Amino acid sequence: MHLDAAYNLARWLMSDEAEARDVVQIAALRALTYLDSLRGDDAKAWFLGIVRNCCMTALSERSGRIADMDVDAVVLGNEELETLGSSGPIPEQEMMRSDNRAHVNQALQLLPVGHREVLILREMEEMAYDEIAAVMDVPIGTVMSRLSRARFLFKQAFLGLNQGAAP
Amino acid sequence: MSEAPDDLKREDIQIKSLLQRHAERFDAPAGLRNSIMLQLQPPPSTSNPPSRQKTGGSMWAWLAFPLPRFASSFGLGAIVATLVVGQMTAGMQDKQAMLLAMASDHARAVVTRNTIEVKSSSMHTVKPWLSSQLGYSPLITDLADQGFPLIGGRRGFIGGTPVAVAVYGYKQHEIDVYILTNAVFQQFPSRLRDSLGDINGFHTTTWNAADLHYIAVSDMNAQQLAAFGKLLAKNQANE
Repeated sequence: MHLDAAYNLARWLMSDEAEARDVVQIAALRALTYLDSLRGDDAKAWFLGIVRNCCMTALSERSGRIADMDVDAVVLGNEELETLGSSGPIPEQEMMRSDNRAHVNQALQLLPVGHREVLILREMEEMAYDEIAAVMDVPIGTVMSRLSRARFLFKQAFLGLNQGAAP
Repeated sequence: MSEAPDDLKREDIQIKSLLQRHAERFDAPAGLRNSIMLQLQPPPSTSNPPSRQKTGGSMWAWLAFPLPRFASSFGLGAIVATLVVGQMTAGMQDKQAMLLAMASDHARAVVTRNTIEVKSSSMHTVKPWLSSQLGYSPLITDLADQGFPLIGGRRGFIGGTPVAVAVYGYKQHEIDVYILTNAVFQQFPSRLRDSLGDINGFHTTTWNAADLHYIAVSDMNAQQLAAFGKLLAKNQANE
């Protein structure tokens, strides 16, 4: 059942238990309406796409603007990304810290919602690029560039949190 | 599913590993699972209980079952979707959330076929049951002779307030008549009180009788639904 994946996505995007519940409930009913748009066996991507859209609508309603409309504006060109991300792999001692759990979760929460979602779909749900593209309704190329940017932002946030805390 | 080439750099592998080991996975709370099940599954008393297909192993399995049986009334979910979208994009206020609540309740009831709490064609059974459950006494008459047999009644929930719902049939269609007290009805925006309008092929007709507000919702033909409303209103006036 994809309900756990749906709730996990909604919970991470909404950052609120009650709102995540509401969104998933609405999405389940909407899924009934759009049954005829389901093709093949991509039920998971299809349903997560509905959940994702319900989240974005609720987020834009909450903040009075389209959620993270500036996401694409802040995505850097590959060249710039390469320069900024050239600090290389995460040092081994940073990978072994006892406070990793807290910092991973905080770093993920700090990301813009559009980057958070792509990391959740890719790393937690282990979805293929084309599935993620279907969920987010964007071209595969956008998935890949956003994922790259999301990893970079996550690494920066994670290392920043580590730096601010004693090892 | 084709997998795009994925030559992960070392740091990408590290990030994957960090997230998979440490990122919190929020499982759906049991209450959520149950309430969605209630919304979408037929009552357990049916002769053909829902089977979780192994292959579906998914939402699909529990969505798929009710569909063929309830295809005729299935589109009622459209009301919910339309209103949800409308509510969120147009920034509708609390009052209109009441309309959303009613549509949700209606769709939930019809989609799950879990509509009828008291099943009877006798107004002498349905009416006292609704009165005892809700503390007000709706005017209900059987219209079987005119082609609209009374099927039964149930409680609906509008914004957390229980309201009476009388259920009538018309050929293959079902008509839900929501019966609201003034207090509940006043929560609707004034422009919606006279006509809730038509949404995706679903129609409504409204009228008042003895200080109660009646709202009939169905996917049947709009003229026929209006005729039904007039007929029931006329019978109520003669009571």
